[in-house]
Amino acid sequence: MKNQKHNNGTQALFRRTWSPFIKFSLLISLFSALPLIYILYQAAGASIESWSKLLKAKIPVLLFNTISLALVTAAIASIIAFTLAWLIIKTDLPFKKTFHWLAAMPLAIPVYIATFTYITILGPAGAIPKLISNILNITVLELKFNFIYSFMGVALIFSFFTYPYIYLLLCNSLKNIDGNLEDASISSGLKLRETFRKVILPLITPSIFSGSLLVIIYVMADFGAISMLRFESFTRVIYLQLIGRYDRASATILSSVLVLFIYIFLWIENYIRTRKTLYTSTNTQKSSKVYKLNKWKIPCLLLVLIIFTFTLFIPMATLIFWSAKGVFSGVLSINFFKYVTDSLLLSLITATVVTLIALPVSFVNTRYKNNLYKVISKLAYTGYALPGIITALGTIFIFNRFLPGLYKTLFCLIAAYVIKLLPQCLQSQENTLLQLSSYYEDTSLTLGYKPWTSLRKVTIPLMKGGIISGWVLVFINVTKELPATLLLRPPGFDTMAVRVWIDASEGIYTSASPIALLLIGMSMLTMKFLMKYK
Amino acid sequence: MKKIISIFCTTLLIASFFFGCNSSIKNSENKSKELVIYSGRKEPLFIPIVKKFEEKTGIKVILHSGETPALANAILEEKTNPKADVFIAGDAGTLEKLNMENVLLPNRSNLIDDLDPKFKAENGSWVSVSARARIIMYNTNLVSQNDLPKSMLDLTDPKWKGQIGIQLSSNESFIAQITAMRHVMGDVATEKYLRDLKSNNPVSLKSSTDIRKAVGSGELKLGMTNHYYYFLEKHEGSPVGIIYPDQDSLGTTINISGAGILKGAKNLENAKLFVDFLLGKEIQKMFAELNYEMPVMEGVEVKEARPMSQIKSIDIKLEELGKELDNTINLMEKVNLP
Repeated sequence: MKNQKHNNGTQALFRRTWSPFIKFSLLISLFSALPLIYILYQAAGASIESWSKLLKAKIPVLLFNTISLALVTAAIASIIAFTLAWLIIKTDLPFKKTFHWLAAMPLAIPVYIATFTYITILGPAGAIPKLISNILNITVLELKFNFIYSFMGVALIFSFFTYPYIYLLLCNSLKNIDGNLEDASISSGLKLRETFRKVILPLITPSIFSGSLLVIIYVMADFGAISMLRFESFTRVIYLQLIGRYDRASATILSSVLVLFIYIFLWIENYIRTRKTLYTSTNTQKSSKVYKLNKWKIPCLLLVLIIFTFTLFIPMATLIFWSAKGVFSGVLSINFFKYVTDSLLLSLITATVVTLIALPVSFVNTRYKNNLYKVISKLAYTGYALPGIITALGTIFIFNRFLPGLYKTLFCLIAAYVIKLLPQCLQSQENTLLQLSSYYEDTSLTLGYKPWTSLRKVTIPLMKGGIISGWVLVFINVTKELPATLLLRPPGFDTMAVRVWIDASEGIYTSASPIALLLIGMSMLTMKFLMKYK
Repeated sequence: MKKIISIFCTTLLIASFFFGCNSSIKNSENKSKELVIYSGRKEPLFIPIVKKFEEKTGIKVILHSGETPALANAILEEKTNPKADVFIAGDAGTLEKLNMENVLLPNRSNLIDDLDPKFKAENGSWVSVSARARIIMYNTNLVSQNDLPKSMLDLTDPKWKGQIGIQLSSNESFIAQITAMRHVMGDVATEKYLRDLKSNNPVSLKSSTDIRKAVGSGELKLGMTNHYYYFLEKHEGSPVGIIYPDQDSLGTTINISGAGILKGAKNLENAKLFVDFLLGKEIQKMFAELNYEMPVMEGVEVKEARPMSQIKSIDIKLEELGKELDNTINLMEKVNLP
């Protein structure tokens, strides 16, 4: 009772001291939710006829397609992730450090870029089917190598480039397994297989599930790769509705349904993640056991290399091949440098704006324990559940309705990025803030610092790591972002991602590839930086 | 940590300075030196034309390429504050739709007066710059001469199951073709045709370039598209042939690509200059020679393509393509084509 009173007192003090910050955070949270609210409002206002038409014909098929693809992709990705994580963390495989890097790297390759490389290699008329049909002396049609456009083909491509979400979490929990538990299990007579089933598996299941759900959400929100692979998913149909139809009712209805399902999966993810803490002990007394591969060393090494062939070698080699061709034929024009500088400048501004906006919000979010505030502040995370294409739709609505003068300006584009990427920035700032006690700010305040000064001189320097990694995350995601940029960019303003998309759609791979390579190179550097930082 | 804040602020300042510079140049060098074009045409064809215009006039063109219907949607959304000066569309229906929505500016000039009335809106708010016919292209290694379909209606024959490339139902040329078919066959027959076509499992592709490449490479036997894609593919050395369909019966669909100036265009004079430029002999020739299209101005010859006078076409006014646009879209939605 006394404690609670004390708590109320500090919260009131906090409210008084930081009141402008609290107001600002509330404003940003509401702003972040605005596009979604407007889409839901529009969807609710759509005629019953359009709802029933979609519910009868389109939605069941789309739901089945999208969710089954997401689930199968997650299953395949889990298998790949587990194979790599087990071999790299729990066995005496050579070159572990390098392999760990390589295993995480596919995350730096945007799936739409990987997809077009796969189409040129394994598509029905790609390099390999052509080669085979030449050898067999038949036509590519007779060979009928349509695998890449089949359900399994699409799922495989997605899993090749999303499995690191699972892999990174899995590595963490495998490293944290207490070696004593394994020893105890083995000395009490259990074989390795049983030890795995009874001791290890329960400890790593949460991270597999958690990572799988990230993969599921990624697949549900993806637009670029799924369109290239001709897969009838929600985002593809929403995009067609947006560009090809003159009324927005269907697009808003489909968007609402998709977001609903993404929220369901997010909720499951959240449930598992918060429960997970019950399982793992962080203060391991003995480090996780490493098993000897013995005669299996060479086969395992081969297996890892085969996986890397699909996840890294094929896309990178193809891009390098097309780029070399492009550079020698002089495709690289002055325009190339314009896209690159425009892109980088935009990313630079956006990352800085998002970081500055996130600072007060993350601070209040972690320090202020007011219940009403807690609920509203969750809205700042809306963008996390919004696929790029839906963020764009919402932004189009909002700007046309309230700020027509700013529609299709950089301001409007940056606003969409803020909504979409603020959550990532907040997350990384809040993570560091949670580890900092409020003791330092409180002390500095009692010593007579003004709130601003205290924040600037005490808190911000302490949370430098979180600020920088948040900034870098936003920077790279702006550079890679496709659908929202495609729909909202000002006339004549092309980013690298947009350029890759337009050129690859027209089959001009020689000019798409150099830009794609540069984009991937930047992402890889970023990842290297972030992995080191953590 | 002043350093971080000051680094942030400086980057922000520098960056906004860069962008600011760009936009202030745009403003200070005033209206006469710039032109913003929304173009639904493919860039490989259109960029040479734009370059030529820039060289000739010294006007800087800001080219924003995309899909025709997407740009039309954007224009409607920007109605109160137009971003573009000129809209280049791959379809008369889309232009007429915008005209009906009252976002296009009536326009006249000597060249526009010379243009055949069937190729322009009555008030000149849009004009054709080139014409194209709907055709079927085929892979000559995969389809024998005796087997060729003669009509768009033949594409529902089960022997082509899974082997025809068509466009997505959002494609303006595909929509225009269906509007023309509705015009001569009626809604009931057209709906049945679309259903039969759909149950023949055609492969719906994102762009016409995808269709011509799929047929050219032998991935598909047949493709339903505009005539010049056949010539583009043939000139890349692919074994392809062309069928002008329905020449003994209904006729095929002839559509145009055209230009319209937007109401509220900020660079009106340049926009007018550009529309006239497109109708000039030199550029009409470029449409024929670079892209194998049919010129719309008298006295400019086609290159390789069949001249318009020798193609039997469905007798439908181009305006009709715009007036019926929504109805056709609804029909295609009803059939649930991808």
